[in-house]
Amino acid sequence: MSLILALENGVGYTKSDFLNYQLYDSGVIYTQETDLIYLPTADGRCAVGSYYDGTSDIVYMVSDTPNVFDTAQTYFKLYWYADGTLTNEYEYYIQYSTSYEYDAYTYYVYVFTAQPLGAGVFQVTSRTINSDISVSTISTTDIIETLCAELSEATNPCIDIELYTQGSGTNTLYTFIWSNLQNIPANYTEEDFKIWIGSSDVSGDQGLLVGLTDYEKLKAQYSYGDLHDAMANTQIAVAEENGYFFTSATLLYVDENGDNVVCNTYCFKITTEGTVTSEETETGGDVTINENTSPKENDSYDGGDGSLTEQAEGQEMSVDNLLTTSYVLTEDELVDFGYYLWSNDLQSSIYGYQTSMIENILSCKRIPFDVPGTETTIKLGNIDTNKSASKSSSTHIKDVGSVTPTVYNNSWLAFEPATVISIYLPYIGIEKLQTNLIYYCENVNGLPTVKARTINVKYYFDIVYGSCVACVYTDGVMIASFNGSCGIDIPITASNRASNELSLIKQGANTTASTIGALTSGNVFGALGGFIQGNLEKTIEEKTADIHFTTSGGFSSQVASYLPGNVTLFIEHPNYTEPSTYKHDFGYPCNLSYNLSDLEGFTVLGHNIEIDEIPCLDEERDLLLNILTTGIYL
Amino acid sequence: MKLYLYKNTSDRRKVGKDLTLVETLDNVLFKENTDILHPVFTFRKDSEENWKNFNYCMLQWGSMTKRYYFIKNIVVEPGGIISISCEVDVLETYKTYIRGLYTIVSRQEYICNKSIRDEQMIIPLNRVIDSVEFEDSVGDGGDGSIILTVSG
Repeated sequence: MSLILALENGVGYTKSDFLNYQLYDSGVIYTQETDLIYLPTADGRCAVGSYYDGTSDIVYMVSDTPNVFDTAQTYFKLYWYADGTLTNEYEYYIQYSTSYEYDAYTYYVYVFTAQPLGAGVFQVTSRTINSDISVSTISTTDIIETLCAELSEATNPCIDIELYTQGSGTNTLYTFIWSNLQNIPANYTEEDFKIWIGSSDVSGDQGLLVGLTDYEKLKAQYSYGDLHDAMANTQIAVAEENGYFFTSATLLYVDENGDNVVCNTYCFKITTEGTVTSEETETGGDVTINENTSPKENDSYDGGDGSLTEQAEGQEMSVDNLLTTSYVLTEDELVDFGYYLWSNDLQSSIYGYQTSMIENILSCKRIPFDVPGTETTIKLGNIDTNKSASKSSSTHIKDVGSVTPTVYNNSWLAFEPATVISIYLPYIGIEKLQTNLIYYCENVNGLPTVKARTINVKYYFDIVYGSCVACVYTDGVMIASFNGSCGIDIPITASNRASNELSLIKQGANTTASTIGALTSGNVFGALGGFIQGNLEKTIEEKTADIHFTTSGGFSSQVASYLPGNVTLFIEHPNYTEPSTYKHDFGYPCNLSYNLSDLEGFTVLGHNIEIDEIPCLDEERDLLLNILTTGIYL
Repeated sequence: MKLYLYKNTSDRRKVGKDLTLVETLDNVLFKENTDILHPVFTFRKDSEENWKNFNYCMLQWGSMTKRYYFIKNIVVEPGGIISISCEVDVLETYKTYIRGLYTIVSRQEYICNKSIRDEQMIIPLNRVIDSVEFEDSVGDGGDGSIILTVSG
């Protein structure tokens, strides 16, 4: 073990050479402020102080435990240094021991005197315990009392205590919350400790008991009336005269004899207005007063609105002008080209590729928007027809704009199944969107508020096949995509026309089969299989509209061109008007834990709440539970 | 003990009622076995006027211990004897502790989560459909373009 010495000028040394085996296993606590040595033993604690009485050093050790030392054998050595050089050694032998009563507690004093071992005397001047004590004025009692006080403060069990007040005046509720029990004596545990709360005088002397609570409960709650009624008659007189009274919380433990051992008292002054201040009677631990504050924080709505991460752009994979070429023609140019197909010039230019050169024509379609291109002439196979046209890209993107739907109900009615959102997409049909991706809840001042996301629609066209994909975005994130067909086939030959009609019939049959028996209509114009460009992904769904809008049968793209050309959002929602007194008569769903002192208005508590802390009769408790869970007005 | 007679104008579910003191009766004694939750107080009234003005009472013993009661019935006997049958009002009696509760609130007038489904709402069957059109049309509105795709 190490022995740390604190000399009067505050310079400390350590020395691990300690001889007395009874103290051999002990640790050392050093407090430079008091120039004292604390030598805690396995069974207790003791403080050490010494002074030079003009003849020799006298060392006093004070312990809160009896029989710390075997007095016949006890001695110890102290090594004194100056500037790092050993100057002297002293052995200290025990002279006598006695008990000493201090602050209603029994301490045990051991007195040692020094026996110099070597030549030279190391003059130890008074080690200042406080500025008022010097060698000439130190008396045995004074130094012992000082040591007792030091030991008491350092080792007395104490707690941190918080007092919360809710309400005001005679309707104030006082909640005592304690924690951090320290300096538990040997052979005792937290289970032995209790908190006594009751009336007291300003010095903390106990009056009448209000409640005795086990430390482990960590909390006690009393009303103003409870504390007020605990006053003794003399205290009542003082309260009536001065407008305040005292309540104290006392930490005590029950010793092995069953007696209460008082450790620390925390006194509070309470006025007739219910306010409270702390009086300085405690000797350890922290005291905190929180007026008009609840011990627990109210819940708040922290449900997020989710976060839609913006997706990376898709990658366009073009097949333009590889083995086929697309040309943009005006009507006149197409007619002129048609004349050429049937002219003798083409027949005489056949180079033997096909039995009919016309079979080099893969498709001819009208699409509903202008396509830019580069002026050129049409090359049919390897034959330059010298007919004018424009060479074009096979892809086209149209952003039809954005809308932010109105929030018609700032409540659960804004979400499915109460509110249903559908979208009409030209060349595709009417599709359903997931409402919860469009309406969401945002935390506004701690309460959820319904908001709407901005909806954007983009069309991606493949002009070669006449197909399109409409992608629906909310706040930049694609939530749905739907396939359609916008290209109107222009028959070139008889076989081409037959092929087109067959395709239409199949579309119609397929579409009809998907709608009969189900009040739904799907992709009105049939899906061509969706020529998807790049990496467009269907992130959420590709559903058909249901319930509200019905169509049946298949349409040609030409017919579809007569239908409305703008995307339209349909929001079907309840026609609900909230009665003006609804919230006062019924309230709204809450589902948060709250301090009732922070609430007002109609309030319904949860069914399985605990009200054990209310000091009521059993029948009253049933009444309370029934009323609190059916609704009260705060 | 003292018995305070009040005029109560608050809903019985109110915590912290609006009470107007009508009369105070001192030196109340229990002359027989009394159900403290449903007591019957009997007293003499020289004037019959005041018994019409109170509908609530509070029994106090000690300096601060109180119990509040609804007056369920008043029986007027000849000779100015009035008997009032009472029922304990637990909300008022323990209002200080009730306000100190920290617990789950399932419904509330001001602190609420409207995104939770409210089973008490009565929703009419008729529904409303609102629509909003996007500004730009998908097509250009004209004749569009003719696309001829050929091999080569």
